Amino acid sequence: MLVLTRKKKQSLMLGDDIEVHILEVNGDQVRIGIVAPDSVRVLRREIYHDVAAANQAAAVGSRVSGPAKKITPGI
Amino acid sequence: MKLKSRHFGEIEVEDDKIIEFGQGMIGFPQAKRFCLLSQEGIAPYQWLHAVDQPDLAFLVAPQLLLYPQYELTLSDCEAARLRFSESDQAVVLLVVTLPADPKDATMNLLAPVVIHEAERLGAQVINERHGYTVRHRIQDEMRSQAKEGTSHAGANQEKEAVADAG
Repeated sequence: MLVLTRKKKQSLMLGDDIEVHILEVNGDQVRIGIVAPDSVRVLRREIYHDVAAANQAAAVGSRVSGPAKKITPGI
Repeated sequence: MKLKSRHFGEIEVEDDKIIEFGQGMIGFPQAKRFCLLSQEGIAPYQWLHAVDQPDLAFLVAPQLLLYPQYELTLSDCEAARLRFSESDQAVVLLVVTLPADPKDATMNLLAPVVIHEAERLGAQVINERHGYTVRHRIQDEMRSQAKEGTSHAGANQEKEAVADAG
């Protein structure tokens, strides 16, 4: 892992188009501002992991089958 | 175009039925185009099927039917990304997980799928202001709705539909 030290109001670039700004430091809390393109999803890591795991469980496996029953593309 | 689904075989999907998910589904970043498939016997559930990934599909159902009292707060940023203006109506779907025993089916209230139908844009968003979880049992919900007398005629049919889909 790359480790850098930054101060309040300083920032980082991830690649050419993602900016990470250190806005405020209060004890053990840090406020961070992120500027990223629309295609980049920014989430807290724990939420990302919970939802990714739930999606993984929800994604259908081989037990679902067709076309025994009629399939119609919807909205 | 032809969607060659590993689950349902070859399906013809018109271009205007495709919904763009610019960020994909969470944990599945490569799939960015989806379509909603209705299957006989599982209504009001539908399949949210990746157009470019033959084996990726999610069982979804309208939030209005599964959890009528659901509250969704869409950030300005997400609303803008989906090109919603004040008067636009969002289609809100909940992702359903169907374990071996359909009685244990859960719905993801934390991360609903929001679709702007007219723009053909969709996203899985994080709705974290209301204390919702990723695995909320559907049966518990049906039971508490029945107890409160807010149940509607469709509730039992929906449960049967879940069982049928499994």
